[in-house]
Amino acid sequence: MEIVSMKKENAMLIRLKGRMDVVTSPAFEQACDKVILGGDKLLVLDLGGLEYISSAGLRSILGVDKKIKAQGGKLALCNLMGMVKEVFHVSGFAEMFPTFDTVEAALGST
Amino acid sequence: MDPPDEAVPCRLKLPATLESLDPFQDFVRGQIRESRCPQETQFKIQLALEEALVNIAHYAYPPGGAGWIELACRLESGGKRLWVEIRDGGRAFNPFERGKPDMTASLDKRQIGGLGIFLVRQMTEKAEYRRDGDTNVLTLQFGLDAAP
Repeated sequence: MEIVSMKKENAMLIRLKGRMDVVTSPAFEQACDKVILGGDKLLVLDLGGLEYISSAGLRSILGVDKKIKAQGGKLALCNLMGMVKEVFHVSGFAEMFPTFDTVEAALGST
Repeated sequence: MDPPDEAVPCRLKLPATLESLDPFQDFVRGQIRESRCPQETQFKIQLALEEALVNIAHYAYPPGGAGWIELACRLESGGKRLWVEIRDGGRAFNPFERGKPDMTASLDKRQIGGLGIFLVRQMTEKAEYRRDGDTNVLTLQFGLDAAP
């Protein structure tokens, strides 16, 4: 999985590409930990390049959400596609996070 | 070359560790290549396999124990179905006996331990457990031409 983080005006944007499974999820959590330590109040995850996610990936997103909420921040997701979108819906996770069709909409969600 | 025999599944036996996950996935991917099923369907199969295999790697054997997992698979119905059997020699455990995760509970309160097995059920046409002697046997069936 590729993890690219970018500082935006009012938020941190993390783009994920590839597969988020039991092996790759810990690296995602570590990347997010750094962002959360940086103090950004909005973290946007762009999942447009993510082709696969398992329960390990869902769990790590849930963990990141808890950490950022504990700091008074929030998590927003965007660009859910294909199998990833379906897994979010089937698991009920889609209703648990603010999700947006575009990065711009997610960044404007503060 | 002889046509593949539906009655004889291909088998792969590996240590019950997370390092075995990719080789098992590659093995099944190789078996269904000829079916030319959509990528989305392949991802769903991979999801069910990951959830089932990780469950065994994490919970079936005592920590530090030298456990094993054996996966057998074959195409059925003229390549329209995939049959997968996953065996392990760990403690008797029926993953489907646990209740469904509460999808209406709040984010903080919900119990997500059963999420992986819930996803196995969602991604398969059929998912069954049986105990065979001292072996756990999980049988999964997937439709290959479209998403279940």
